[in-house]
Amino acid sequence: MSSLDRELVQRMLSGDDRAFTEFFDGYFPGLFRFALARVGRNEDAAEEVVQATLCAAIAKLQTFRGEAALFTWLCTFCRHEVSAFYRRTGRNHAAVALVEDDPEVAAALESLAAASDSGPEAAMRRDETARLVHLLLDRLPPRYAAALEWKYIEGLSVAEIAARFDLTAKATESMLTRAREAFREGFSILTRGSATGERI
Amino acid sequence: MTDHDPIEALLKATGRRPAVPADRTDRVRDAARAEWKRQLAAGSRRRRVRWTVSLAAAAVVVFGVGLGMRSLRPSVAQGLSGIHVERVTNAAWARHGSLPLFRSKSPLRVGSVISWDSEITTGDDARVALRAPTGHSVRLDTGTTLRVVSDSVFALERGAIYVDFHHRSALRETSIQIVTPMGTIEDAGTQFEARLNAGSLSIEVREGSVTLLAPAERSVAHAGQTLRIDPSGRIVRTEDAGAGGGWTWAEAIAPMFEIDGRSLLEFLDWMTRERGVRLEFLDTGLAEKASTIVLKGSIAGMTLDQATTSVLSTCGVMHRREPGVLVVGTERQGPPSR
Repeated sequence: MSSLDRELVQRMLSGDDRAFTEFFDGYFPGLFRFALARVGRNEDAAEEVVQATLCAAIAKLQTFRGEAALFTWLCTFCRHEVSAFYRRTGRNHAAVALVEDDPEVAAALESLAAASDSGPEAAMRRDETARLVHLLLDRLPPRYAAALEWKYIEGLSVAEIAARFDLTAKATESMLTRAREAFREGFSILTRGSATGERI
Repeated sequence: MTDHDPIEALLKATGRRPAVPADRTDRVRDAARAEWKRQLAAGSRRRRVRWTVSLAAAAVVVFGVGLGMRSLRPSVAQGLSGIHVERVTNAAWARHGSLPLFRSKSPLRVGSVISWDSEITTGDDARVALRAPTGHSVRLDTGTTLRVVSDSVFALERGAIYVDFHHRSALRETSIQIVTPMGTIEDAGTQFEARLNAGSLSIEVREGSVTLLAPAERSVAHAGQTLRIDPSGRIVRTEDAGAGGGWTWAEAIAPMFEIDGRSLLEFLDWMTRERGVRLEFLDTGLAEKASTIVLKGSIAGMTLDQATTSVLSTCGVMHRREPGVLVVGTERQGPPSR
């Protein structure tokens, strides 16, 4: 992925408008969700933070070397902007606790086993699980995440996904296989040590 | 997949990722794009200042460093690019290197390999033909500056570029992008010219189609069409591509076909493509035989007209030019009459 990220950044630095669109459409939604979870689900605050994040990252694009994935690199800017947001507003940043920032993520994922439970606590756990799955999708290459959603949530056929990506059916099958592997690996890491032992 | 597939079950249970409201997306996109444009403009200014400073600094240190600098001078053969120089007329140069003191220009020669991030400049009387690893022929007219971003992305800063992508000669099928201040041009297996002139961009399509991705809109131009984009971004489409003789300069710098061991049909195919004309056989016998006639020798250094006359007369083939057509026939039939 790093070479693709580097190429995307190089194209942006050269002024390629298509690269900017690819960059924005690929990473803005994930960054927004990343920020939203860290500013108490306040959409106005998330918008402010992400706008500042993108402007800061764009100003430093020439320093991107591809050692980390582009989304990870952007998240470092976002964390900084979240901290700046809390400093400006005088709110207590420490009050925002996120499961993925905690090595003990198992508790939240227990909601998978309790999916049939009712009540506010079970609902909250299910929401948290959904958020983690969405977080994981945001961390995948944008094409992988889109392919998985189209295939398993929207129910598109391989041919329909291939048409959206302008790829052959064979290439799309191959990409779906890689996307599933990446998702499986990411989820396994996320749930390592889970009390439920849930594995995919 | 079935519901027993845990990935499918998990994704179905959690649903799509929540979308960001469109109004928020639009606001942030506008702000980010404005910052991106500002950074691009600032980068361009920084490059100009760096170059000026480097000239002044070089004047100061040149005696101290002396000829030892030569060993440190970057060569156009450095880098990982697969872009080769196929033909050069008169003096053309490539600049490479990000450190001002070590950023120097090297003359382009046939066979030179262009590094990524090199800037190619042609003088008032120079033209260059490059070959990208994608199979594209990329030609620069006089007074052109082109930056090589990668093997398939080029930034046109001034002047004109001509792109020719011939499916049958391509090593692999992929498009290339020409980035300009007015938008990005993407080819779709084609021949076209893009020219910057006084803040405007014109794209004349000779064959196939190209897509222009401008900040305000996306436009597709097909063979015979011209897109003109003025400094305000307004796009005008006309049906007059090539009317002003726009291809002539690109034909003059066309890399010569290496005929030795190739068939007459291949030569005619190349010739008619370079000329943008259709091939017509006067007799079916020649049409069938053309692929079996093997050529010998070389046409290096000839013009397209000279090469046509030389090769065809050697093969006992007569020819004549009609508007949009090259007509060929066997010599025993006598010269084709008009």
